[in-house]
Amino acid sequence: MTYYKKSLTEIKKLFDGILHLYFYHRGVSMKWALYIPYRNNIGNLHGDLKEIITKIPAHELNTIKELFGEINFNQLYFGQEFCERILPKKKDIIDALNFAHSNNMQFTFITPYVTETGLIKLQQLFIELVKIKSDCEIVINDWGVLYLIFNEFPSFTPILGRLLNKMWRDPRIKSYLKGKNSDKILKTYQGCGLAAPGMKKLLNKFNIKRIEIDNLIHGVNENISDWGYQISMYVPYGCITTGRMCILGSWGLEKKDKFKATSKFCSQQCRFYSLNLYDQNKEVKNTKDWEIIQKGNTIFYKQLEPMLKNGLTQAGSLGVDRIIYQFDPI
Amino acid sequence: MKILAPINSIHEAEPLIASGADEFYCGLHPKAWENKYGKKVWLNRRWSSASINSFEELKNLVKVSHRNNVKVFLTLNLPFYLPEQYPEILSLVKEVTENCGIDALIVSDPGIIMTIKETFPKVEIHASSLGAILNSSSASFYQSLGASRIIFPRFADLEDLGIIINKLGTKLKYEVFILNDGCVFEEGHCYVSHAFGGAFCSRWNYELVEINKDEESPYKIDKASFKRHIKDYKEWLWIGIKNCGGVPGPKGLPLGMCGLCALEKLKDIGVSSLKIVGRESPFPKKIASVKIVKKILDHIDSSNKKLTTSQLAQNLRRTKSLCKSNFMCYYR
Repeated sequence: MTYYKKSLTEIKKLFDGILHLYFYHRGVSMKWALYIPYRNNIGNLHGDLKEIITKIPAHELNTIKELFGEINFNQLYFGQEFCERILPKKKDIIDALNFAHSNNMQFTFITPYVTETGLIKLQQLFIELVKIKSDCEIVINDWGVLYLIFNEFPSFTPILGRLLNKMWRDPRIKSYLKGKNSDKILKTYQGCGLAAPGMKKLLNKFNIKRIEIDNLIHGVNENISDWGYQISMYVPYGCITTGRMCILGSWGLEKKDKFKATSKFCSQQCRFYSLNLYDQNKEVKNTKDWEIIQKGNTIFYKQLEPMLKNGLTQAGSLGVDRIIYQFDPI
Repeated sequence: MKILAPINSIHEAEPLIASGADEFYCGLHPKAWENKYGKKVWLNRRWSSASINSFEELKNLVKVSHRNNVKVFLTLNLPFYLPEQYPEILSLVKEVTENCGIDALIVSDPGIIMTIKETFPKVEIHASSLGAILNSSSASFYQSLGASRIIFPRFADLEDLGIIINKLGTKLKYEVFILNDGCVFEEGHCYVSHAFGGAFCSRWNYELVEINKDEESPYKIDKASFKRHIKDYKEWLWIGIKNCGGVPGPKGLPLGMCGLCALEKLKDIGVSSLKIVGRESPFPKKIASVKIVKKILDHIDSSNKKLTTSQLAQNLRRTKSLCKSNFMCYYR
């Protein structure tokens, strides 16, 4: 039995080694980005990168190291994908830029979907950012923000964010597709509208070269390298759904003022709490691969070790060239 | 302002028009699509029971509607379409516009909008609420693709709407939600398929997890109040998302999300069309919805007003406590 166990461990090590060599020889040069949504996530942006990396959960770090060796975060992603109420201030961005510079990292600014109010705030931030870093990468999750950058800040480098890549992220997909034609339909559910000729033409017009994907519960599309973009993938949080109404943001308000999508007020409880979600109907069960959580206004599936490993393995072999590691989803 | 009613059968057309509907929107569920993709891959956001099921019926529906000066719009409102689906979509667009005579397509996917406009320049496009158009730049983006109408998402901010409409001007038409279903999340940023049934968002148990003990929250909230907060949340879901269990309210009026009190304001800021949700709704609910909107619009246009719009809406509804709760309001 002991011998058997030992053999298994050795086979596993050998397999991981082969994978590592495979990526190396395919010439896939994987870049690593560290995503910090809020300055307090990393000691108010004063910390040392090495020290911050030690805060990544050991099992996640080990999985990454097994597949890719020692990782070097050479990109800092900073900003908000999901909520305009917690957009960073100008000073936060400057501090994040300095942090990136002092740690030899490139800088990417992430932006959320925005109302008219949020659009004006973003526009002000862009006016400042373009003075400091005119070619800054900007992750865009709102068609209006793309249009604004194209027309008013053309020196920025736009990236199409994962919220504008409408691929299905429904955790139920695999369990619902059984029987005849299920493989074919699964491929449809792994498909991506950005791969369509009309969309490629449009995004080319808007200078989009890089797009983002999630590590999907029902498997990453095998043909992503044919889509014609550079591709970044987020781990370990996949986005299922997001909205302006925030369950945690309205906690503490008078009942009549709760659950307002248009609320300008935010008690910022997402900085202090997250929610574990359990399906009353037991249709969406947490598994060894993922669990459902809500942070602020967004529901995520958090990828656990087996899924994370599988996704990263696929990413390396399919042509993803940038992994964005999320310290925190919001 | 026009009343835009949902429709899924030609038999509903004339009674809805007689009740006050000025425009219709519908889905199409061609058999060929189902034969190819099965029941789990949809052509639009609703299944066959909510849709017109043949080109022939669609053509007849358009004929009846046009006879009554009512326009018909067709949904092609999946969040995205795949490369291999483009030829089928284009062939369908040709059929529904050239043969069936529909007046506009409701679409959110910018790639398919651009392709449709390049292939059929005269086809009118309404930018769907799935486009999550929440700001003036986003509306400009869809206008640049050729959209002639912007459909704002649920729960739009009235002040923002005024600014956007003012910036974009009268070359575009503007549509908002006025009655029936809500959505917990941003419909345009929801990556869950309705093809697997039910909403994904209203049936969770919540466990609060403290994640940051190092900092102090600027807002002191008693942790014990979370249970009460979730109770309030479930009440909001029941009223706004579950439409109070789907049972009709007094006089058969629908319960669920409502923007009637804001009608006068919506008119003032330049909204041109009022969308009633529910292609799959029972026919009496559609009729009752159209009638109540019509009654209030007539009141706004009348010179002899004894009640404010909001008073009239709440009197007609007879759901005093629900109205008072604010949980049934699209615009609050």
